Amino acid sequence: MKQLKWPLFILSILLFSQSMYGQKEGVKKEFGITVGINSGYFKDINFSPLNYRQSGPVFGLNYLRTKDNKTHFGIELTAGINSLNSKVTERFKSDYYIGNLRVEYLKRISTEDKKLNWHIGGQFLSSNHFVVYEGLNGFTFNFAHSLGIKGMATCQLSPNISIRSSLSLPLLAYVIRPPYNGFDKTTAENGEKPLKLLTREGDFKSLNKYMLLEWKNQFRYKASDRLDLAFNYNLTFQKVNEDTPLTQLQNQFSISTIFKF
Amino acid sequence: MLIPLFLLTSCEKAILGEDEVNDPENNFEILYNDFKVHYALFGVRGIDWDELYTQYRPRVTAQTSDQELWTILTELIKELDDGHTFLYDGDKFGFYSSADDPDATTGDEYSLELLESKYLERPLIHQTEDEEFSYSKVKDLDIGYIYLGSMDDQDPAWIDLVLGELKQHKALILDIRDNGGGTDSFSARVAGAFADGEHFVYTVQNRNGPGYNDFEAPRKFFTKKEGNESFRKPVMILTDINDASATEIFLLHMKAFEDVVQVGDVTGGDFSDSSSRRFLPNGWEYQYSVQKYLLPDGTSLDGVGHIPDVFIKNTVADIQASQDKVFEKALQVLCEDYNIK
Repeated sequence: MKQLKWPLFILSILLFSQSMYGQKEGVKKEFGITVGINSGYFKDINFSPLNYRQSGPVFGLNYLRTKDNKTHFGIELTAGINSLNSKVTERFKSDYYIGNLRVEYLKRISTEDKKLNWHIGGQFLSSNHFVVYEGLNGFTFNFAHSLGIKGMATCQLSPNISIRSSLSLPLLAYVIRPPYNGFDKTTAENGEKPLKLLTREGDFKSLNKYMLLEWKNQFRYKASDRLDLAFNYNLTFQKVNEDTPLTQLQNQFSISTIFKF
Repeated sequence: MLIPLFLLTSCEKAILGEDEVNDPENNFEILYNDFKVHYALFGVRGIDWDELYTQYRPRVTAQTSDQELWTILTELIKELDDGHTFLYDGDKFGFYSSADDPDATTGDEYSLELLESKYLERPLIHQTEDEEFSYSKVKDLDIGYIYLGSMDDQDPAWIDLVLGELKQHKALILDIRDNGGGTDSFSARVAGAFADGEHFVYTVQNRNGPGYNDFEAPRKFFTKKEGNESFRKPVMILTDINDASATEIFLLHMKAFEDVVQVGDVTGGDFSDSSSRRFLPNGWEYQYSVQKYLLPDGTSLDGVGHIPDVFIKNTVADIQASQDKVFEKALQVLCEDYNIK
C-alpha cells in the first residue's frame, strides 16, 4: 500500500481538479472499474532465452471527462499479477507484475455524422512490468514512460449501444531495463522495492527501438442514465529492440462498470 | 472476435520466434555463450574460455545423454572454481557449485554449542531463532563475544545495541565462521560500528559488454563510521573457508582498521554478486558471477580469499574433543599480544 501512495495521491489531485472544472455545463464525467484477464506471449532475452505464455487477471480504474463530446480527458490505472509459463518445465513458472498509468487528452475531429465521432490527441503512458522467479533469484523488468499519439473512433449504434475503438503508439519513451549483465548493485538493493527501480537510469528510445502498439475496443451498453456496462478487448504489442530484445503480445478481455456523474 | 482468437492460438511463433531447441548441443551452446558474454571473472581467475570450448564442445553430440551433459557442464564450470557459479537441474542431479570440493569443510568444524558450554561466561543472547546473531562474554576474561552468522535477514543496526552491551570490555572476538554472506550494504553498516575513519577498500566493476575486457568504470567503496556506538579496541575476527561473498566484503572493511586481526582459515574467495537465474531449454538453471571486485592496488582476492593474519583451523575431531583451536588462538593473541587479562 505504501508503494501506491504516490500514484493514488496524484490520481486524487487530478480527480479533484477535474471535479472542480466539472461544474461547468456540457461536461460529462465517468468513473469505471474494470476486471479482466490477460493472455499472451512473452520473451525477454534479458530474463530467459525461452518463450513464455502469459496469463492472469488484471484490474483497472479509469476516470474520463468529456466536454460537449469535443474534448476527452482520461486517466487510467491498470494493475495485475500474471503468470509466465514455459513449455519446458512447470518449475520455470514466474510471476509477472503489471502497473500502468495512462493520462490522455483527445480532441474531436469535426464530423457531420453525429453517430460517428473521431478523436485524436496525445497520451502519457507509464507501462511497467516486473518479472520475478523464485523470490528474487531471477528477475527482469521493463519500465517505459512514453509520450505518444492516440486516435479513437466512437460509433453510436443505437440510443443504448455504442462501440469504440482506439489505437495508440508512443513516439518517445524513457525505457528502464536491467543493466547489460542483468544485475547491479542498484537492482540488488532495490529488488524488493520495484517502485524505486522506476527512477533508475534508463534510455530515451523512439519508434525504431521501442514500440508499444495498443488497440483497444469497447462495446458499451447504457443500462441507465448513471450506469453503463462495457465489454472490452485490448490487444497490446510491445517490443524493445536491443541486444537483449523484449517481445510481448497481450490479449486482454475485460468487463467494465461505468458510473456517470 | 476472430482476430483475438487467431492471436491467442496461432501466432506464438510469429510473434516470439521459434522456441529454443532442447538438444544437448544447443543446451551446451546457450550456457557456453551466455558465460562468454556475461561472466566477469575470466581475467581475474586466469581462465581461457575459448580454449575450454575447444576442449569441451567436441564431447557434446546430439546423442549425448542427460547424465553425460551434466558431467560435461559441471566439469566446464568447475574450471572456474567460483562459489557464485552453479548448475541446478531441480531433479535427479540436484545442485552443483563450481567451487564444490569434496575435501572442503563440512560445517562441523565449528560449534556454537561448544563455545557456549566451554568458553563463554553466560548463555549466548540470540537475536534470532536461527542463532545467526548472538553475543556473550568470554569466561574469566574481559573480552566480549559476538557471533555473526549471516550478512542479511536482520537490521544491521543490531550491532549498535550489542556494542552498547559489550563496549566496557577490553577486546572483542567477532566470530563470522560459517557465514556464507548476504548483502554488501549490511556488511558495510556493521563494519561501520568499528570504523576508525574513511579508508578506500575496494572497487566494483560490472561487466557491460560482450568482450572479455568490457567493464564499466570502477566504483570506489570506502569505510565509513556508522551508528551511535564505535568499538575501537582490539578485535579478533574468526574466519573459515565457508566465509564468502558479503562476509568477505565485511572483512575488506574490517581489515582496514587498526587492531583488527583475522584468526582462522582462509576465506572462500567469492566476492562478486551472482547473476539473475539463467534458464536452459532442458529445464536446468544456472548462475554466474557478473562483477569484478578489486583491491585499491588493482589485485583481486577472487579465487584467493582473505589470508588470515594468524592461520589455524579446526577439524571435526577437535570439535568432538571439545576443543575450538581457533577460538583459543584468538584468546592467546589477545592475552599475549595485547596483554588482555
